[in-house]
Parts: sequence; C-alpha cells; structure tokens
Amino acid sequence: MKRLYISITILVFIALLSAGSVFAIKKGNERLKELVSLTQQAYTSGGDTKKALGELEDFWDGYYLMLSYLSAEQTMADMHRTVKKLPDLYDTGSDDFLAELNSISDWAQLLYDTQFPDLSSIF
Amino acid sequence: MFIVFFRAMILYIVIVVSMRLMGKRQLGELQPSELVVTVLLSNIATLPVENVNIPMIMGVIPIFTLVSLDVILSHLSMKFRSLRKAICGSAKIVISDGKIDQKIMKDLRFSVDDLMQSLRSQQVFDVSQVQLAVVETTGQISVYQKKDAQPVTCRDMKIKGEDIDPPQLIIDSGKLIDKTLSDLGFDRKWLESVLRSQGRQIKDIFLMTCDGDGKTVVVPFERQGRSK
Repeated sequence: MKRLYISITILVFIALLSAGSVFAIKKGNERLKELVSLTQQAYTSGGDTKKALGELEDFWDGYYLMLSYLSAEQTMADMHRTVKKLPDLYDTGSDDFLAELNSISDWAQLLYDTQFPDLSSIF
Repeated sequence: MFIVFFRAMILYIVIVVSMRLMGKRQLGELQPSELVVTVLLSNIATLPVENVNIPMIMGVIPIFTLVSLDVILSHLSMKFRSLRKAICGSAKIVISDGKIDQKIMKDLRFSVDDLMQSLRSQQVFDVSQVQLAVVETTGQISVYQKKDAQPVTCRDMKIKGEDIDPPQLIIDSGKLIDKTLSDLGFDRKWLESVLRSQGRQIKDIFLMTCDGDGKTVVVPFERQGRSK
C-alpha cells in the first residue's frame, strides 16, 4: 500500500509541476511580450530604446534559464540568438530591428503552444 | 563531458529508485505491463544522457510517470479481476492428463520446441508423465506430474517430522541482524551467551545462521594467512 501512496504522490507532484510550468511559461510570455511591445513603442516614438532593450535582455536572461529546464525546443535557441543580436541591430540602425522584435513575440507564442497540452501538441 | 557524467549518475539513481518502487520481481517473471515499462525506461533514460540539449527533467518525469502508473495499475488489477485479466492475461492449460492442447498452443504461438524445452527445464522428459502443465501469465510453464512420476515424499512414506523454519542469517560480516534474531524468538543476550561459550564476539563473526530450535552455524572471519 505504501508504494501506491508514493506513486499517487509522485503522479500528483508531476501533474502539479507540469501545470506550474505551463503557467510559468504563460506568465513569462506575457511579460516578454509586454517588454517587446515597450521596446517597439520606444523605438517608433523615439523614446529610450536602449533602456527598454536592456530591460528586455535582463528579463530574457532569467526567463531563458528557467525555460532551459522545461524545454529543448529549437525555438528557444532562435529566440536567444535574436534577443542577443537586438542591441547590434539597434546600434547599426538596421531595418530588421522591428521585424526581429516581432519574431520574438511570435516564437514566444509558439513555445507556449508546444507546451500547452491540447490535442495538436499531444498527438 | 562532465554533464554526461553527472546525468548518468543521477539517472542511475533515478532508475534504481524507480525499479525499487516497482517492487521485487525477477526479470523473467515480469508481467506484460511491467516488461513494457522496463523497456521504455531503458530507452527514455538514455535520451538526456546521449543528448545534453535535452533537459534532464524530460527523462526523469516520464520515468516516474510510467513507474507510478504501473504501480497504480497493478494495485487496481489486484482489486479488479477483470482488469487483471485484461492487462496480464490468464494462465492457460496446455497439457492435461498427458494430452497436449494444440489449440491453446496455437493461440499462444507456443512451438513444440518451446514446450519441450520448458518441460525439460523442470526435469520432465516424457509428456505422458504430465498431469497438468499451465502456461503462466509471465510465459513460464508450471508442471504438475502424474502421481507415479512424482518423487516420494515423507507423507507417502508416512514419516512424521517437525515443521521448523530453515536456518536464517543473523550475523552478516560482523553485524547483527536484530530483526531476524527477534523473528526467530531470540534476543541479543542469548546470542552473546552462545558466542561467549565459543570465546567469540559478534564483531569476530563473518557469517552466523540460526534456526528456530537455536541450532547455530558460525563462520568466523579469516585472519590474515590462516583461518581461526
């Protein structure tokens, strides 16, 4: 009987952990998208883009670390590369800056979709 | 390199713990569901070791999920016979009164060679000597021989004997196994008096067994170069 209780506890723990990870990604994505949006606004309205970009990068470093425990998606690596090249794109005044910012939001959504347990992601 | 090394160590512990959680079973006695879990475990465990890009939690979570499900399923199957039958199947009689049931053999995809090999492994070389042979859910065959082919027992010879437990290990490499000693109905004091009469202490004993009657066998540690 002891084994049964241990097994049920483990399963419940795993279920909670899984639900918690999806929730953490959802929350993290919301914050990431918010920071991306703020950076876009600062860039288009001539605000302090550098500061917004710094905040985005700082947040991403912590978020990326957490994601690396939960997922091995190629999307994450792509996002990481993009976030890291944003300061250079901004400094050189590249036209790709806004496009790359948009792609971070899209990848974040894609990452969440692959982690959320619906029929398409399970099967 | 270090990542693989650490991961291998951690996953080894995870696998050992999960196998303990599954319970004591000999590999040859695995039920179909347990065999599936064992095969899957060995595959899943290698993934995070082979590919360091895969987070280790992706290996640990399926391992514990599969093992936990197996334990829960086996508990449920103990409660519900129909579920047990669905998961483990049921034992089938292949030989009855020396006659082989060819239909069952065909259903089980059991060849004559398989059958004869299993019978021979149980010291039965003549099918006609078999009263009943049952293919268990684990795939092993249990054989009950006809009366005239069975070895003579004390009951057959009308010999009366006492039912006593076989000797059990009470000292292992100088360490006393308290529980076994108390299960046999003795205590440390009794043991020490037995050893004192032989001029020995617990720490001097390599192996000691005892039966329910208090009959002991003592093997002391060998001293370097000579045995005591």
